[in-house]
Amino acid sequence: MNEKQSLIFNGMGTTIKAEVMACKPSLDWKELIQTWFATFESICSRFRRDSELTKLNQSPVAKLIPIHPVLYDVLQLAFQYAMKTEFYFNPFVGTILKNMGYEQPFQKRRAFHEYKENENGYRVPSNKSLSFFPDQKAVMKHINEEIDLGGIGKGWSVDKAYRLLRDQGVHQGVIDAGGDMVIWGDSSRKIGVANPFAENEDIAQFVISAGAVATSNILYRSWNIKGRTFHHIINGQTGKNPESDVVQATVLASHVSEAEVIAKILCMLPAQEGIQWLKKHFPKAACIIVNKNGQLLITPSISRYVERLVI
Amino acid sequence: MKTNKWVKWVVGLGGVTVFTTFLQLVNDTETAHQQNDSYRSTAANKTAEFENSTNDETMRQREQELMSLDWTEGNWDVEYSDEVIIATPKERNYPLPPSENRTRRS
Repeated sequence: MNEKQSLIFNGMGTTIKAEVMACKPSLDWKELIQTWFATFESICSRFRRDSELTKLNQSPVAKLIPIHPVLYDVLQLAFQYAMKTEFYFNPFVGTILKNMGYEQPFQKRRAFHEYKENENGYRVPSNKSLSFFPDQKAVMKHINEEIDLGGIGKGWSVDKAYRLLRDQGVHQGVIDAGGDMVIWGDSSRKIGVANPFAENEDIAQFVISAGAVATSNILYRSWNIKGRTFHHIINGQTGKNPESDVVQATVLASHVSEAEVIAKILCMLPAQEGIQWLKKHFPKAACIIVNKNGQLLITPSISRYVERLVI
Repeated sequence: MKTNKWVKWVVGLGGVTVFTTFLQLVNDTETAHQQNDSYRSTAANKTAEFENSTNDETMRQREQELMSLDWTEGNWDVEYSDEVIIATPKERNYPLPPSENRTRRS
């Protein structure tokens, strides 16, 4: 039986949509991925007091801390990307985001409190900031800064959901968690890139049958404290909101987690510099950047992923 | 008695001939199978090579098409370089209606 089925639900602070060609009638794929995303959020959200991540953030430094295998895996990948990107992508920005007033899910925010500068200044983490102990699934922190998985968690959970479905024989589908999506199978799909200046329009559209896509944007999840605007993207090398001409970056890569990390970094760098950076560090990835002037910057590597591009 | 002797010779020679023919047939069939397998294998290799080259070729064609599209007739003025395509919106811009599947800020 090959039947097109779809599912929409709320999770991870966004709307999650999935559409698959289910081949086994016995497979309750909807239950499977709803349970997965709920489990992931309960483990890895820094907004939940009882999450594994919150417990890790509250744990002291220089102590061996056993953690849930899911948190271990995503943390390990986050740390690998942090080192690969020279900490532009930095999972240790939880404290900074808290100081900026981002202490609760963006959808539930009421008012943001006063911005607190870090009294001790900012130090870029290093490869010695966190130690991993694979046999025990444990970590040891060497710095006090809290961890935030906002720049990778959603993408990683989408990658994992895809693998869960694929392993159950689901050979075609799309999972979209608030714009971070994976597409697999033989069927081509048209994907729109939302216009950051007019959310109800697409600024570009492409046709793709398989790949991972993520978009980051500095306009959404931004807030104002006493006339000063903040947003959720932190340059891990400075500990501050980046000053860039990039408004939105859409990245196509082999994994959603990778696309998400790259998209964040492309929002930190000036557009042209970001193109060079991408070519140097992730030559197989592709991007569509929108700058403040409404220009699109598209890497020719996009032809690796898309069958057609419309702007 | 003489007749019986000739009959035995004929039957004996016939049996040997049939057996030889049978062996030859089996041998020919095996050879044919081997050749066929060999052909299939070669064909499969050729197919794989062809598919690979098609993919590479497709990739190259896609990139060329992407770099040579005449987008200036549309909503954008487009500049090309080896590293990036820069599209600048024209004054009069026709918005694309939202697709069913969209990537957006997260």
